[in-house]
Amino acid sequence: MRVTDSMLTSGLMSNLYANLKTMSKYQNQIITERKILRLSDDPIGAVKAMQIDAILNANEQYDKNISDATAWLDQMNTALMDMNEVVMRAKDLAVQAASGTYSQEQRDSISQEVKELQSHFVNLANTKFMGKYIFGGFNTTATPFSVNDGKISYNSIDDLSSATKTEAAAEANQIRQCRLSDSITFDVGINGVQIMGIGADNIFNVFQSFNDFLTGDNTSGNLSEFTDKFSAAQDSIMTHLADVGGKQIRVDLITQQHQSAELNLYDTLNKVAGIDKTEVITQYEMTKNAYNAALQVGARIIQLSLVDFLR
Amino acid sequence: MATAFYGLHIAKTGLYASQKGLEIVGNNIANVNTEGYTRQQLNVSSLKPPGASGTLLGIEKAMVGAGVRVESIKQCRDKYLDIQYRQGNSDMGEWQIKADSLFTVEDVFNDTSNAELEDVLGLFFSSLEELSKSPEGAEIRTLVRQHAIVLTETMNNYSNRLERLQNELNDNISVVVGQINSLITSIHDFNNQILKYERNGDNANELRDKRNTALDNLSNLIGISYSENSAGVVTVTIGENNVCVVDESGEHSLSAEKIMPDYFGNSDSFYAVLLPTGAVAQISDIGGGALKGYFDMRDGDNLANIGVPYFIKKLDDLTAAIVETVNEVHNQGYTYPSSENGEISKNGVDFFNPENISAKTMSLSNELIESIFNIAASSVEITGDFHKGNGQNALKMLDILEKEDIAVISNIHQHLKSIISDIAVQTSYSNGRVDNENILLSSISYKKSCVSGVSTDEEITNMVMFQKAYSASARLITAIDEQLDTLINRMGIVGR
Repeated sequence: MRVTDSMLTSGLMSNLYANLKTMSKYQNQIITERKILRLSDDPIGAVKAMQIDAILNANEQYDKNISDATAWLDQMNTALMDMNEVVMRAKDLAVQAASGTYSQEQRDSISQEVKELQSHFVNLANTKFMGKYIFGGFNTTATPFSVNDGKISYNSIDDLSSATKTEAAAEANQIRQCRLSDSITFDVGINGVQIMGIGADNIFNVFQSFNDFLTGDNTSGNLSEFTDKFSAAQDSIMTHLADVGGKQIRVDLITQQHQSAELNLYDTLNKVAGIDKTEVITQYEMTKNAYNAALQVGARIIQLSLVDFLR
Repeated sequence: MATAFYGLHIAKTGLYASQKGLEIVGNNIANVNTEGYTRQQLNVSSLKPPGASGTLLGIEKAMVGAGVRVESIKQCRDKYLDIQYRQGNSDMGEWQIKADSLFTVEDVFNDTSNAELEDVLGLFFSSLEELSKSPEGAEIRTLVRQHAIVLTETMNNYSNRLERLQNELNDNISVVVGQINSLITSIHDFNNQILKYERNGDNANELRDKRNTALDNLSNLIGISYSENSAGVVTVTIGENNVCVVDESGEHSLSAEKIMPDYFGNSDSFYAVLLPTGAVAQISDIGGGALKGYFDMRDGDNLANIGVPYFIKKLDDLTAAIVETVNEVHNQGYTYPSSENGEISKNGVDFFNPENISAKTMSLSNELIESIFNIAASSVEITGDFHKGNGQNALKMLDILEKEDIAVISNIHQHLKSIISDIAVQTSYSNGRVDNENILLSSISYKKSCVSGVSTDEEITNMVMFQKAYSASARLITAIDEQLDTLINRMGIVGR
């Protein structure tokens, strides 16, 4: 077989190019720390990496939603605890007023405190967080509870003591939701009307009638009845606290799930699209050696010809 | 009986032949790096004794031959390798164009800046999530609209870049047709020159080299077959239907004319190639080469032939999926009353512009451009202050866009994934084809070089050989000279 000069040179060049191409691939991989630099490098891996990226992006948003939900629930928790304190104090007052023989003066001073407690309770029910009323359902911009002439209104319900169950249910359905994962749409907390209750025994009304009793405007019933009513109100607030507490625990669990899922995703992403530096650098060195050898051999072969040996 | 000077004549032919041989060595070495040069070889034959033809009468026995004759200078070339090379070169031309174009398509979707479609979609979805939590905030609504604008602009941009690529491919068709025509002209010119040159029995080696190079180049641009007649004229036909472009009668050029509609239906925008007969060339008339690569990439819109329009169509499908799903849900929601929209909370408002849905023209609806409060986040009509914090409809949009099991329209991410995977697979396939064709071509080139290439070692060996032969012939002349000297000057002077 004839071996011609052009065969030698083009063979040498194509081998050098092949080596350089591999070297530049490894070089880019090391610099970018990514195995897949172009989609066509690894079609299956690229699509898989893209999918994982999309899930991680979505998770980032879900993490934000989770921290918002947590802050929101914490705020509700605090407000409900405060409400509990207020009702407890009112219950104490009811017990005090019932046990001794109190003069009208003493009753008046208790009445003063009850009025304070009542308005504080309404303030707590109108708690704002980040500029939004947390117990207002979908009404976050206008004060949900307002007191008018000894009656309390909530959103579209003018007087809670005469509200029907249907009206109350329509309001109670308004619970802000947010997505904590692809499949979980989470009710963030509870609605104000649930806390306040409807009918004659709504918590505002209990305060109101207790106060009326103390000031002597209302003489029906007896004082011990109010102790029971405040106890019932306290129970209901405790139930809501438990509800909110349960939601907080659930959010924590979802957070944990997210974190472990995220860890797995990063791990997979790393396997699909990341590089093992040691491996790539080793391969780079091996290619570099091959390139060196090709250069040296090439230089020697193309230097020689018969011309060098003729006198 | 041969004449006394017969020997001189024989030696002279030897000198001539060796001299010719040395000249050929010189020519070969001079062209060792010339592209397309074919190694030349001296073709000699021995001469029969004078008068040996015809009758045998009066001829002495043991007549010596009359020396050597230079028959021709022939080229060392394997025509079968040429055919193989040109077939491979056509495939190479076609796939190189496809791989280059898909590289650009890949660049469009593989944007390293933060404008990757996946990210843009992700940001849009994120802004909807925020909207579902804070529908009463003007800043969040601005964010949603901003991200929606980025989404539409990214879609427009992708579609425009693909369209631009398609137009470049279209322009290249006309350029390639020009190159093909100029090669056809030069092949025709070489045909004429070779015909004249070889009429007297000579070999037009250098002209043949040039014509072969022209044929090699032509095969890269278009699928060709060819044959050479006894007079040395090459007939070239193109495509599977063997349309003749060069023959004895002359050259028959192609032409490119803008008579086809483009992807968006603008008439007379895309080139069609017209055959010498005036008919519009089909893909089968082109057969292969870069021209077929350009046509396939410009027009390929189905799975069997994936070109740029295929990806534009896929983008349009994705756009339709986003626009139709978002609009359908958005229509059910209610807008937020504000002074910007006349304090009205109404449903039936489109989010994206529902007319002429395509990636190129994707835009927001007029209502949304008018006011951010026309984003319908609420599931019920907002009267007074109640329901201003209702973000239920935003949640519904997210559910539908991201849910996996929607039968009506497949998940947006799935859509995008299928586009990306088509691009990745197709680009990787065409890169593989180019690599394979490269290996095939270089192996044929290797074989060609093996036959036709110049080896300096061989030429130097030949040089020494011819040089020695020349010296030997020259020495023979000296010997005969001495012989004649003896005959002429020293004979008949015995005893002087």
